[in-house]
Amino acid sequence: MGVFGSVKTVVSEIWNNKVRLFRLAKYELKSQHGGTFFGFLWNFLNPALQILVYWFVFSVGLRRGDDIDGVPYIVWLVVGIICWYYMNQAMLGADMSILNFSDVLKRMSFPIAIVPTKTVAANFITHICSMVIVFGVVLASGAKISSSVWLLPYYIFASTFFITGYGLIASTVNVLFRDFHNFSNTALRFLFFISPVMWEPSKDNGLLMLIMKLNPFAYILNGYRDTILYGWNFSENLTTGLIFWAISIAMFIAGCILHMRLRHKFIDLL
Amino acid sequence: MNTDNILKNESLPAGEDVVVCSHITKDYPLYSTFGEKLKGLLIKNTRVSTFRALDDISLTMKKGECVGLVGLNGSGKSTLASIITGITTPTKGTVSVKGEVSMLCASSGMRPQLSGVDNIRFKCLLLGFNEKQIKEIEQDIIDFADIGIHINQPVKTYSSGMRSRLGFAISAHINPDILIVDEALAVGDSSFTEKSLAKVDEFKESGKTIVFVSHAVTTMTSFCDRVIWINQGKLVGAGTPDEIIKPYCGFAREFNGMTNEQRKSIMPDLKEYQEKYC
Repeated sequence: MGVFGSVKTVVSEIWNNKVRLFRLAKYELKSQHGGTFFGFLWNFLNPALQILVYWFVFSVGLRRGDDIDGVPYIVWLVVGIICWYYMNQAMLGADMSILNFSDVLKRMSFPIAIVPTKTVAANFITHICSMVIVFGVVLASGAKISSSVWLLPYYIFASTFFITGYGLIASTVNVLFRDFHNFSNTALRFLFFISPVMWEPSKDNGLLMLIMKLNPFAYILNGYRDTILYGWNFSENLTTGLIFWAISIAMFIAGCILHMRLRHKFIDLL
Repeated sequence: MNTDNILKNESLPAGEDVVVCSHITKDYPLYSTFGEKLKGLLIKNTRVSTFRALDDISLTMKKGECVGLVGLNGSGKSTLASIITGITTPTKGTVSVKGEVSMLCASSGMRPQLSGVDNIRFKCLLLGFNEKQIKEIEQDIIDFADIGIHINQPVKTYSSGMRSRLGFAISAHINPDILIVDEALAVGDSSFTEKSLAKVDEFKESGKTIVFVSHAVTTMTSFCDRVIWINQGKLVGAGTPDEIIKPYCGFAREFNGMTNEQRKSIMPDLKEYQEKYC
């Protein structure tokens, strides 16, 4: 199957199953929170408790962090952390998704491309709930929400697209080489520190600025903060945006090709 | 498998060939090292040692027929069943299937944290039902599974029998043209087995093609129109249940008494065993 055919098959499988995808995601979440008293509320409680911990550490305990361009450090951090958490969780979930679904795939003919996608969808739902909490925190802190906030959905879409491409590659590779999950776990931990999640890179350091330009996570993180807190500027984001989309589209296409080339071998390897 | 062939075959006349397997061979690669696996997966035509699960099998199944598959453990019955279902593909040979195929399975697609009702909705979703269809059959499934008040409890609290019954009940409400029953009936007590058999009978009555994989030879004798015997991936023979079941049972008994050396090399000849045991 050619490049175009692979992409077309994967995209149409996802598109034709879009409703099913979110309903499967709903049961995945339900299964995660099964047996807990708060159930679906955990999607709000989790980020809220996480934020509470960061607030305690940085505002009460360490009393560290100066305002970043006029925004309290804790607010700046919260927007970044929730954005990072979404990408991190969705990527780690997606790369195990096909392996975790092996009981189904072995017995039913099922459009396999929607397996990593439904895990991304589950994390997407959680993320939307978290963003409600984020807006609550921003407003409660007295910071103003920027007028560019209407561009936030674009960044949510961009990060979701990036994760989906990654998920297609990683879920496939993970079936063949289970070690991959451990590697990606470590890689993401490293990426956490070279992305502007907890600290802002100094503008004087040329190497760091280059890494930030090439780093797709930095584009997304800055995008979230710009649209929510600072105001968004087209020319500032143009180069990094082009780099981000080049990486994302290349990854998505590679994911489709790899997925279609190896999908018939999956079942025998699961 | 050519998925373009999949269309509802209700319009086809009875007796039409709906499953045609020609010269199917299935090899499973046996990778011994990581490097070999890498090479085998990424580079075409790499030689790796393989296990031959199916060896040059040709067969056809007609619409409305109930075909039994018998063979010892590891003879390739389930591999053949999953190739017909389209879950896995043959290494060599072609399969052409007219109509929608589905496998009846009790155990897969159940989530222990979810309640019985949620599991019904979840598994139906996996099987491709939409919301409206699920609502329509939900009560039917609950009645068929017959697990009473436990239906709203998480499946992890179920006994294994209850779990399988629920799984079977969900799976039995699919409506394919060709139904594969792979050891799925031996899940409950005798009264549930009877109910399950009645359900499969219902499928049979409505003119569906059924492929029956089982070790329960008595059930097979009364149920199937035709039985196919495979041994070590090769076709031993096909015929009416009377022609196949007795020789097969005789062979199975002899097999029990064989040494490991004999077991490896034995390839039963249908005629010989028919003369011996019929």
